Amino acid sequence: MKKIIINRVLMILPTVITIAFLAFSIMYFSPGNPAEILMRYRNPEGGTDPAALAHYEEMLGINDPFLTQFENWGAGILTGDFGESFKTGNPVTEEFFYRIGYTLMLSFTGLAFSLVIGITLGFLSAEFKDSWLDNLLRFTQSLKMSIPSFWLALFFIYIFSTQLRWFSAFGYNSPKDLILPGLVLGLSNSSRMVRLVRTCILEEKGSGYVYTARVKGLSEIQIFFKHILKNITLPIITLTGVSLVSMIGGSLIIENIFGLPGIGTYLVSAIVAKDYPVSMGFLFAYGVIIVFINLFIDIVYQFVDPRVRDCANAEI
Amino acid sequence: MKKEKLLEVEQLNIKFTTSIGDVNVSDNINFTLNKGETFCIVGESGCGKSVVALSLTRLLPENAVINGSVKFEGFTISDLDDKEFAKIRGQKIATIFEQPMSCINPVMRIGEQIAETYRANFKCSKKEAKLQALKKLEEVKLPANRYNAYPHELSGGMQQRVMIAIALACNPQLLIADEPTTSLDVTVQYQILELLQELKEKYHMTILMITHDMGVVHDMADRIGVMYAGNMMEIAERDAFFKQPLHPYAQELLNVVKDPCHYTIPGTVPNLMEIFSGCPFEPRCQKATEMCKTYKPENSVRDERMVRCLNVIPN
Ligand SMILES: Nc1ncnc2c1ncn2[C@@H]1O[C@H](COP(=O)(O)OP(=O)(O)O)[C@@H](O)[C@H]1O
Ligand SMILES: [Mg+2]
Repeated sequence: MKKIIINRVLMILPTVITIAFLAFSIMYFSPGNPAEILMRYRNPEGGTDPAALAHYEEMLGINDPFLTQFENWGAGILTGDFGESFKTGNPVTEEFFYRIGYTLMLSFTGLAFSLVIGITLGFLSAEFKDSWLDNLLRFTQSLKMSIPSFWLALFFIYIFSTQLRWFSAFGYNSPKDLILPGLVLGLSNSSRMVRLVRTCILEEKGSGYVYTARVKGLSEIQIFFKHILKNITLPIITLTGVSLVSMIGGSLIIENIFGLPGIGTYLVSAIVAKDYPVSMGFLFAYGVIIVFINLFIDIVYQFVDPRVRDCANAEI
Repeated sequence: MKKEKLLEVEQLNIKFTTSIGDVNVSDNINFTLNKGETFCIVGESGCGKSVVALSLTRLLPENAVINGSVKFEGFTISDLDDKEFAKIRGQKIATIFEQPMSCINPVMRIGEQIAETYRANFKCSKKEAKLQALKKLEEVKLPANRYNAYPHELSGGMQQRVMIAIALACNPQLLIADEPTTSLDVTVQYQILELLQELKEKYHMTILMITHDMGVVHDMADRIGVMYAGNMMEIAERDAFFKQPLHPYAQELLNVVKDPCHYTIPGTVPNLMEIFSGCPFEPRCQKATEMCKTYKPENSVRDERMVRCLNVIPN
């Protein structure tokens, strides 16, 4: 098992390098001159003095070849130095760690909602297969797939914030403000979970151990919680990982709508403001977070199923 | 001595409705299980044996249409609601299936699976259930340190022992064993049969054994039912049966045992979607007459013996 984990960890390296390369290239090839932008931030009244511009270009190394610039940026990453924000002058890492907490809290709230919704509705759908309830659930799931999350967000804000006044519509003051955006995120990511849980349960219900459990005299609910759930953890974990990834991506939009101070909101405003170091750094961080989530899932995988665990041990 | 009846099956008809037509798996089957005996249902694969067994504990999927009556200890099981029946199924009737590996939960420790059975049916503490489970492990001759093992760590024979321990956790009156040894090596088969025999005597259980192996029938049965294409062709006591099987199909089954390397019954088991106008065995029967094609045989019964054939009367 150690060997497998080490393997996975080593495989991350090329992926991370690729992500760094892409994050850098996107900003490198985007139109606009970073030196000019930085100059305007540092000295708003300065006009366009060519000597000053040359100074900033020199400072940023704009005229170096592409690869040299990439190497310099990459070397900075290795020492944890992503440069300073053009806009605020603060180190990018500082800006990042200040905001990542909100994004993670939002994503995990979303994940919790999507798991609870997915497992509950999936169970009901399977248990009452082909009944009106199952049909209704399946209809709403496919409906939900075609509703964009921002629409759902605006709809929820209208109902729960504007009309009912249960939640504030914008900004972050207390953990309670995570509920509504988390619910939106969870709901818009739960359709696949509902369907997966339903299909898995129906499949497992035909298997021998479920018959044995019935023979033992267990009720269907007991059979679900004590037997089926554990057997379908692997697909659920896999999808959870995929969902978490798409939630961290989706949080970008949701954070903006709900005005949460996470990395999504900041990244969008950095891109708009052409704040190059922040944009590159945050794009890179998004990619790396996603890679690490996948790694984490691979490793959790090894521990959940005794069969996978033993196969892995046998390989050594 | 008057025999006490534990299970009575009368006029049992089962068909599955599928998108491509109906499958008739049980055609007016009658049989009874007397307390303490081993009744073997024997027949080739695909004759509907497993389906009949599953119907006794109401485990058939929803597309099954069941008619007729099954009485357990005098109660008609179709009259009981799900909750009442779950209790009987848990405490009084146990079932062992053919594939032990797929029939025990692969991600749960085997000891817990045995203990759980006990806890599901009797109010008791976890500790007490564990003690019971350990006792059962000992009875099926598995070492106590196997309590924490996962199913895949055990051999097929040991897995089947676990299944037996689960089945016997509540000391059932009736044990339904559907091909319990078919997937096992010959030597292991013998050990498992011996174990079943031993436990049967210890707990005065009644066993309904389903098999396609005449050897198993010979070793285990007190009475025998021969099933072919959804029909119970012959029911007889063991000695009488092996002395002189009456139904041509039963005779063919024994011919195979006498010369397993060279003799096979000509033809194959029919698809149960067919509707038989005459006797379902007629196309393969060497004693068939013209009549067999057009007339369905009825059960003819004398004393303990039943035969469903136009050309044979029990005597
Ligand atoms: N759920 C079902 N739907 C349709 N046909 C079924 C179903 N279950 C079993 N059958 C059919 O019933 C027949 C008898 O099967 P089975 O009882 O397993 O035979 P045996 O145990 O004697 O080998 C088979 O032809 C099988 O295809
Ligand atoms: Mg079978």
